Amino acid sequence: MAYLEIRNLTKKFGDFTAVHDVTLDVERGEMIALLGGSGCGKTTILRMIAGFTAPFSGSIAIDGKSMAGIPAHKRNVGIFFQNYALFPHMTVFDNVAFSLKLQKLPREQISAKVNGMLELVRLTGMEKRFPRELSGGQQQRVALARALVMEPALLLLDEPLSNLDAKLRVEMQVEIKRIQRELGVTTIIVTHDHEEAVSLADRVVVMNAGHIMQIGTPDGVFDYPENPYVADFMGFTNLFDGTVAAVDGETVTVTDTNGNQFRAHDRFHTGFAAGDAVQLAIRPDNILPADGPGENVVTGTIQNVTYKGVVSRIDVEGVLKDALLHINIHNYDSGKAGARMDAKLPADKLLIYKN
Amino acid sequence: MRKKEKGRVSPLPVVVTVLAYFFILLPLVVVILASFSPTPVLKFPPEEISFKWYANIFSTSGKFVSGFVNSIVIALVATVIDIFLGVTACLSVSKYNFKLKNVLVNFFTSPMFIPSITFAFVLLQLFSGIKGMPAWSKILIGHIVIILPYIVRNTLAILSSFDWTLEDAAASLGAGPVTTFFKVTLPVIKPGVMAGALLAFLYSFDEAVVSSFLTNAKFSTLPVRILNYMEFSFDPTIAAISTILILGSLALMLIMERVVGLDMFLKT
Amino acid sequence: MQRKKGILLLAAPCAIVLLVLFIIPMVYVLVSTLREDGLKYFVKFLTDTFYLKILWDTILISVEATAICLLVGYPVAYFLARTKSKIKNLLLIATVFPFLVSAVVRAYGWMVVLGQNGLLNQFLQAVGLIDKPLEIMYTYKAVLIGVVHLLLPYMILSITSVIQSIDENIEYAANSLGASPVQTFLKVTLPLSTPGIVSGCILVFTLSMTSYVTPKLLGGVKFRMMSTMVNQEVNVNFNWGFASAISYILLFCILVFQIVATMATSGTLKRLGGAKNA
Repeated sequence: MAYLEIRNLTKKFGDFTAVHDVTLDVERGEMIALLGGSGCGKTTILRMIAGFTAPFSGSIAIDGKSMAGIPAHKRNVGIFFQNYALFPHMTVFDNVAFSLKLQKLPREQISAKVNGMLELVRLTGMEKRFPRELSGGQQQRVALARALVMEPALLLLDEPLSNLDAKLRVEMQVEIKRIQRELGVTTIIVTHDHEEAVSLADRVVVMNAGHIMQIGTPDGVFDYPENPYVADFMGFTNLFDGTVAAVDGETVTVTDTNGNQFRAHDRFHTGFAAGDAVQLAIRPDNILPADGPGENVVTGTIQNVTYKGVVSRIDVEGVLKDALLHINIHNYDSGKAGARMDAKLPADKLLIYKN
Repeated sequence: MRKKEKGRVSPLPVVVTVLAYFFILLPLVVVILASFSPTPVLKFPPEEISFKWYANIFSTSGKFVSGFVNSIVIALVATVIDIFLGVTACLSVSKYNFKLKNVLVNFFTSPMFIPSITFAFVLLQLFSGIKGMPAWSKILIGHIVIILPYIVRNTLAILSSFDWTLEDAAASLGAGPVTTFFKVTLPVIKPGVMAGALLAFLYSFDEAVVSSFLTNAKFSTLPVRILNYMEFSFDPTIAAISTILILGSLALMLIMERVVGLDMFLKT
Repeated sequence: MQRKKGILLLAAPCAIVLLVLFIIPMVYVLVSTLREDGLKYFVKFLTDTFYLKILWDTILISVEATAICLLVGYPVAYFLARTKSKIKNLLLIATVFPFLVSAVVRAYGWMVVLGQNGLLNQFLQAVGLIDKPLEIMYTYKAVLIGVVHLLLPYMILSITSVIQSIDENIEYAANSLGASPVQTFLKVTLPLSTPGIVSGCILVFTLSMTSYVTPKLLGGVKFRMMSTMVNQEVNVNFNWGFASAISYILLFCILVFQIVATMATSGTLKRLGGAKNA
């Protein structure tokens, strides 16, 4: 039996179904990410686990104990809020000590635990400050410490990195992962940022419109999304239609709407037949420059080159019907707008979905 | 020091502003001057300074001291009761949006929309049918109603900017609804509630309409005692009391500016 | 849903107190007046030009007070909202603190200034502008001065809060697009500050209509407003039925005014984005 068991969870707001029959198991000590755009239901699931809102149907159990009818303050679920929700009238110490004081622990024990936790999040020396006197990153650490100090049965992180600038994000990613490992607390992260999800979580749950679209390891979900929705969400910006021309075992030959021929691998064992309408997907980073024709090589005209720092993004015209082919290339310096370009879409990176 | 930035304000508003504040402050300054006048009629410029009217406050038949105490007690009790009524009422309409929300808010602030004289008369008429009710209880009831909107409005204002996830945070950390209210919600909204309470207190303390209709010879508030005294005597004893009240308000004002700032008066 | 309903219960104490001590008495006294005297006193009031004149004076003085407060208060509010000097806080204190001083005290101040031997007459006689003291006390003028003094701070604060919330960059934008300061004011600042003007005017007019202490002290028995009429009927003529009729006529006027004013202005205010929290 899994540590956290979510069974057939459904939530309705009036006529609107925010969460639709979601079933999910989370193992003890695991870090899992609920990933999806706004309105996909991820936050609603979080709020149901926390006990802020009751499910319409379905069940949630933590460590074998059903959460039905248990109010939020008796669940021992630690939450990191997107806006941190630090108590503005309390010092850092009092914020972190809040739950311990409610448990009426002896004073020395409280201060030992709080100090230990502040050390863990590297905030020693900030005990007497008020939240408004801290930077965003520091506030975030306080919020994390406050949620963790009560040794929660479950830790919920709501968009933990969304309010930070790029440099701090990376730093906090590492930090959160380190702390989670150190304490071994079962953690659920809610995020709309796929990079955040794949870099933090052991498993990623991609959601859309209240449904689970895919559950998998970060690299699985990132590299091999199982359906066009997840592919699009994961940054497969090249997504185009085609028809199966031939099938040879797991190798599928597809003709796209512009007449290009591609070979692709039936990675998900969908089982295709000639004539099937399909969608092809490939990440811009997986397309390689090619020298002359070959398998899965297409030719087009460079419409636009955008320097993006580490990579250059090239938009190629004339390959796809009614769309540009996007390619990301490191240290690109050979082509300019207007030039011809050959590009290879490797068969093992080209994903194919039945329409 | 950087050069003082000039506001882009043209001369017209400046001139009007100067005149307006002369007008606003004139009678208050005059009252203070009159309180030190040696003669019953203020001569300007004053020839000498006298404190006899201040001494007179305690010696005349005006019963100003007991009036002052009564006013304080009524204002204090009414304010404390209304803090409870107002804060609970505001909490009920602030956290969620619902159809009748505006109706309820208007209901809670409704005493503001009616003339005090009408309400004063209504209470007079109503209480005249009830024998043996002491005057203080009638005045207290009147004040509980008329000062409520001040607390409600200020509490609503601060609750509108209250971050309700703080309550969720407290719950997730193990605090039940009651603990959450006293440890988190109340401390955070306290400045707004206190500001409203202060205004309500002062309004009750200064109130003369409802009080003058419900008062009797035995129990009366300070503004009513002053009004009654003026019916038969117009000497600067009134100026002396008024000066004390003016300076008291000024002191409160300065404390308020320090503690909560004056921005609360700039919220409509 | 359960939580939402539970939280509504918190409204109960306040709602019960207001119902029992406010709404029910207001209705009860009206009904009992009507039951005892019918419409007799309402008819008496509405058919006698003497009383109608008092109602008319009350409305007139309130309109004038509102107009004066607006004309004086707007420039002051504009100055307060836009000045960058340190004097702002001082002026804000000077605006707010009289507002915390009892109307009794403030009216008394004007009695000292405007009386027969008051400062104004002393001054005018001293500089030789007049021979005989002016008769200002217990006239329409005295009450008007007192009411304006009483209510000017409300107007200033209402308008200041709105002007202050207008993004100054909008004014700079108008300037940069070629509008002179006067044009900027007329075409941008003034229209955007309507919510403050509207709420200030509604407030001042209402409070003026219902003011009691000021007309009592500065108008005396010579110049009466509706509220002092109520007092007259209660404490001098002992005609409570008539006092009741006057009270409710005043209440009715105020309610009609507020409803009409709110409906008439809500369209404009909504189009301004309901903005500026007015």
